[in-house]
Amino acid sequence: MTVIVPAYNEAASVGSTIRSLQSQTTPPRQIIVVDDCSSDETGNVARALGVTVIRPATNTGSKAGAQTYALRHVRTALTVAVDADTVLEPDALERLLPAFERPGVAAACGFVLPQRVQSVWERGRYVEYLFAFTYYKQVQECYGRPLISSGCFSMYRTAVLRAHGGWSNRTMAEDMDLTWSLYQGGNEVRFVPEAVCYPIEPRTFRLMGRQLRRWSHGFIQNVKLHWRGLLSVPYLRSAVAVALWDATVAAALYLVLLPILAIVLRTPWVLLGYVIDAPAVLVPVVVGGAKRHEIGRALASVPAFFVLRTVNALFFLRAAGAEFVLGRSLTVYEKGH
Amino acid sequence: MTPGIPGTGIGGLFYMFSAAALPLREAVRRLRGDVGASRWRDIALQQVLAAGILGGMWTTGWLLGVLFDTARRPVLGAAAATVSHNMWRTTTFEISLTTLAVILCTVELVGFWHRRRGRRDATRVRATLPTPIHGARRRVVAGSSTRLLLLLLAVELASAADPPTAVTQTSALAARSLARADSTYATGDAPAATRAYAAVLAIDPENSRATYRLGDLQRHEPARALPLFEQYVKLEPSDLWGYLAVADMLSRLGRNGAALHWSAAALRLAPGERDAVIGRARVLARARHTDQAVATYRGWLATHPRDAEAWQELARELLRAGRPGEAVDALERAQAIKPDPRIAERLTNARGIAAPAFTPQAAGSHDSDGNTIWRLGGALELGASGPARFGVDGGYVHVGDGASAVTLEALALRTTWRPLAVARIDASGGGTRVEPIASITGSSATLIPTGQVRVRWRAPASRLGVDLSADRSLVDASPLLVTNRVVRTQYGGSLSLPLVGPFTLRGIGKMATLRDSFEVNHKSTLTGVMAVAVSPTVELSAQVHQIHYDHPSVSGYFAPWQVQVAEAGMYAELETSGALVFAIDAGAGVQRVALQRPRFGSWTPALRLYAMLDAPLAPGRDLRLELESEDSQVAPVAATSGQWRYGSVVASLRWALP
Repeated sequence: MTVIVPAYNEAASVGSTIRSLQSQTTPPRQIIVVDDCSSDETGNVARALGVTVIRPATNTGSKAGAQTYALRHVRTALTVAVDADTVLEPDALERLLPAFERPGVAAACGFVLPQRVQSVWERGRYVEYLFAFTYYKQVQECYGRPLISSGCFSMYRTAVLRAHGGWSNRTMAEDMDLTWSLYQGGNEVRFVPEAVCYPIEPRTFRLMGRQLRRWSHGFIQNVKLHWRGLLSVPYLRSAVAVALWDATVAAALYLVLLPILAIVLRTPWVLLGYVIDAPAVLVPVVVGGAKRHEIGRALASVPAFFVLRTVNALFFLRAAGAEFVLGRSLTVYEKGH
Repeated sequence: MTPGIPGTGIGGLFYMFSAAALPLREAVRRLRGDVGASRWRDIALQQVLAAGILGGMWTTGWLLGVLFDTARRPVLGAAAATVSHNMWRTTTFEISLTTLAVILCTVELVGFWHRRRGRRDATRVRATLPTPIHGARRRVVAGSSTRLLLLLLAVELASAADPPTAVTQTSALAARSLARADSTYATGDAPAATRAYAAVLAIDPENSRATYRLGDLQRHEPARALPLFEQYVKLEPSDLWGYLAVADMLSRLGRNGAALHWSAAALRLAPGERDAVIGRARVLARARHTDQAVATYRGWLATHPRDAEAWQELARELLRAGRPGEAVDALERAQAIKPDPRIAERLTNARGIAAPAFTPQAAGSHDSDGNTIWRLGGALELGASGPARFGVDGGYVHVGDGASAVTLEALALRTTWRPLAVARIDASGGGTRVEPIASITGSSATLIPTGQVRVRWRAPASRLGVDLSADRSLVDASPLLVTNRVVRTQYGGSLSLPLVGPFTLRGIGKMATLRDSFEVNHKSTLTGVMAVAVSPTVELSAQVHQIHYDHPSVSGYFAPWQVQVAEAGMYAELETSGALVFAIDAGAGVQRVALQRPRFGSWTPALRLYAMLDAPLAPGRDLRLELESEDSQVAPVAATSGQWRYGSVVASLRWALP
């Protein structure tokens, strides 16, 4: 397999990423770092660690562009895409390989957890990932329909990837775009929870806002782009429909209805509605935390989850309004850290 | 990325149900031999998570109840009645469940419509209707260049004979355009061929060939194709294909009466022509005149027994008419004449339907008064022969309320008779044995005769219908009702009247006598429904119900003086390409109760939901799951109190016997 690491001004983190790739139990044949016209020492750091570094003539404008640029250099049957701020468990690549024993599998992804769990936003993201990857994604996998093959760490069958033209920058969520395109092409995507990666998550509200803005617009853009094709993909169409409902109508009720009820009924207790499902949320979080011997960290981070969830709902609602109603599509790719 | 609000919103509910369905899905995949099935350990973990989340949601519902209690008291004062926590929990759950069901149904309906449209678009270029000229079947036309040369030669000869005139020049131009259009048509480029034939008609509006071809290319849009075919009939009044095409388009537009008229005209034109006869049979079939379609197919096959396609279509109509045994015979004939894997598959499925079958069933229900009912039973069905089918049902029922419990055993013989495709008669007769009452010395088991007769008739391709029923059964909603041996004898009837457009008016009336050792009570139910058919498989309605009891009862069932319910209802049926059938019948509205005449209480929410999933696991093996949830006094099950709520789950597996 060949690993592609797109990087734009990632000098602080790309070294850790490369070292984690070089110490894999199943090491890749080649590691290609795409220095996307960085203005810092990203390229030099990567070269110093002995990996292949390629630099496009001009900035490609997005992670998708950088990854697709590197695809032409891949000569192996499998291609791995890893973000330049992501480190992998030593056996992550080895854990993903068996998924490709089925000929129909075109992509496989693993469990994602934040590299650092310190600020409110990182903690919120930590609980969100524990919840989503322990529960939602595992159920999706049982139905053969993981919603997204995570862009921070995924493995692909190179031939299929090339047939799809690599990663497209037509949406802000190229990983979702590629995954849904693969399904519509009749391919399978797998989720392997034992393959764990740790990206750097946004630690401030400003950075989190950038990432949420990109993700929320990316989701809506992909729904607009793929909705017809998804209608022929069982289970995925339902999962996307439910996600769209949660991102739009439910988010509106969550953000608007509860405060209105509190005012109309003249009691602040109604606002408890923002956290009232805590008992249910705790179940997969505790189970996921227990598996990793991190129950204490998980429990301590739960309050941050409800803060992030409210902010998440706000960004998704704004994106839905912008994309569906105002027709203002987000086209500028901004990093989240 | 987790869109929206990760947690226990609609998304959480969706994944909870997905997780709960995993063992069943895994079992189905194992039965189908899908070796890529998921690991059982992962599935078990998801079950544990789903159960834990359900427990968490129960806690959430309880907290919601406490929350709104706290909110209401300061607002409404101490006089406000204490809200039952159960009410908030179940109401929240029901609203969420209904919302999820609506979302999923909408997705499936849109997907079904979209896929159907896609199939139509994909087949339009492969349209294989015969060429219309001279009523002959389509000939293999010579290569386009040869045709063009011949045409040009003919044009040259004609122009040499007559001095060139404007008319002749126009004819020549039309002929060249027609030749170009024909060659474009032969390449299969439907959009280009459409434009080419339209260009011919712009030059020569009465060109019959171009008129027919243009209509043929637009068959996927019957509203556009119909005027073209009607024009073609005017240009070529003796050509059978024009009449058939008009009938076909009218049939697709749902104008069945006019379609039948045109197909009859085609048949008069060419009574011995296959396409005229089979074309009429198809129009009859589409118009749901199933009996006439069967007769037409049989008439043709009596003189043309080697027509495999006709045997297949006859089999389809026989299945529709509820005669699977005869459908098997027809498919066997078709397969013997022209072996085809698709016919073989249909034959296997038809054999599965017609074969004797055993259907084990397990059901459980629980209501808010603490009554829990477990039913284990089965039905044995003899093989279908002709329009009648016989079987026997048996079951064991355990009814408990936490303090006491009773058991019942039921056995009944039943029959279903389809004398016509539009009529159906179901009848059963048997008995229910109730165990002796433990608290009464000398009490003995009781055998209660039970029976049911139901007659249904529906006009073909119409919403006009009549449904009459009579039944006698033991009311087993609670141990008290069983102990008191409350027997209900009910007569009911409904009438559906189609109004203008998609609107239907429906009236339902039921009269029941409830008799036990203490008393005799009478219950009457009147229902008015105004329904609108949104699509052939989706109906929305506004419903009004009124239930009346002669007097209150001490026998264990809730018998107010009157109950009034007003609700909005939805019924939808969906069949996927994998023959999975999903049906949902839901209602949401308000109800009020007058315990004594005529003082009604306040309006309270009334909700009901019935969902059914029928999954063919293999030919002759069908799994059915039914889910029912009632928060309404119009439930078919006897309510045991005013605040009664009810939920039930039924699972059955029809297993055709070899």
